[in-house]
Amino acid sequence: MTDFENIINTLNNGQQAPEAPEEPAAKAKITLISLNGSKVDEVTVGMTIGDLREKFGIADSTLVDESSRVLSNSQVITGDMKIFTSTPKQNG
Amino acid sequence: MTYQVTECLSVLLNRWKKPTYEKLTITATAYVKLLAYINLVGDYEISGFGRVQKMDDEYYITDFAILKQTIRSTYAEIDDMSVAQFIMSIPEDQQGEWVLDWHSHVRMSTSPSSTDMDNYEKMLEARLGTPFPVIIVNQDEKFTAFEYLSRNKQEDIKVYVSTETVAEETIRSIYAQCKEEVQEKCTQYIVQTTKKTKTQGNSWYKEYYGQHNPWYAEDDDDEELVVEDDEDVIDVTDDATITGPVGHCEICGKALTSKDKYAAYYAVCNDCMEEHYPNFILP
Repeated sequence: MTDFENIINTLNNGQQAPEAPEEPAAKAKITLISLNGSKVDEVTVGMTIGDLREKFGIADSTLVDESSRVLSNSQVITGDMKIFTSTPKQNG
Repeated sequence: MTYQVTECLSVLLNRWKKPTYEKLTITATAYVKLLAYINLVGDYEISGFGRVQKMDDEYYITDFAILKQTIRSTYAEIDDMSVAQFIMSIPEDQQGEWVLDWHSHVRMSTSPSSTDMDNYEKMLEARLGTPFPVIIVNQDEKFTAFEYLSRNKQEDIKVYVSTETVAEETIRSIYAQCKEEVQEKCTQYIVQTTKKTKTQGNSWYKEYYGQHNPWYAEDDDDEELVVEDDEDVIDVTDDATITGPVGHCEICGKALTSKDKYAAYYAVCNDCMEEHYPNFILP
């Protein structure tokens, strides 16, 4: 979109108007809970569960939310979340 | 073709970590519970988690828990949702205490199998790379215990059992509670036998193939077999078609699959069978 205000200002004054300050990206508090306790971290809203897996090195674990729903990789983080990290226990 | 790397960050991150648990003492009542669990399942393995608490700079195992699981003579499995629900059920003041990973080996050696080691690696990931203590125990009360730091690093743990005596009434009460829990949470992996084994009786394959048969268990009686849950049924047909996992190879330790045609009779994979018993003929 053309920034007419900037163009007019540049023509009139020979300098560009200062840009509107960019809003900082919204953050979400993620609490990862495992058998060994919990870990809290901040991530950017809009991040996917797949990105979160990569960030925390939990590619193969099952991630479950507070309502016992399994989280898919494409799911987008929209706000604070508690996530339980699990895996099957197989012994032989 | 791009080489598929093996993730190993935990190997590096935990390489210089000092172990937390050099010694673990099991409290007397917790030990009663553990013995009840491992003996109540008879010829089957059982698995669960344990609560570790720090008191006066010493670590104590103060409780054991079992979850909904499928049990067999050489295998026990708890699914990921049951593990997740167990984590959700941990009260806030106990978070980070249910770290112990335990299971039984009936009366066999308590050394970890390759199935165990593979699972500890997955557990380490699910625990966000934090090391955890492991106990393998058998009905002879032999233990193997170590702290799992990575697939390249496990540190031995000395296990002690508290010497305090437990009142008979307490033992009876713990036993009754454990019995109820085992009945509610443990599902046996049942073998549905065919006409062949029925007409020849149950003993022929036990005697001929011995206790290495992964499906061997004292209670595998053809005539009294009760199938309670269709999902847990393996159908052994005349040509030995197998469905579902059946433990691991007794020789190389590799997990057995439905492709291992000898597994219905002997806990050995195709490769090892062909290498070690080339003349074996399927009945």
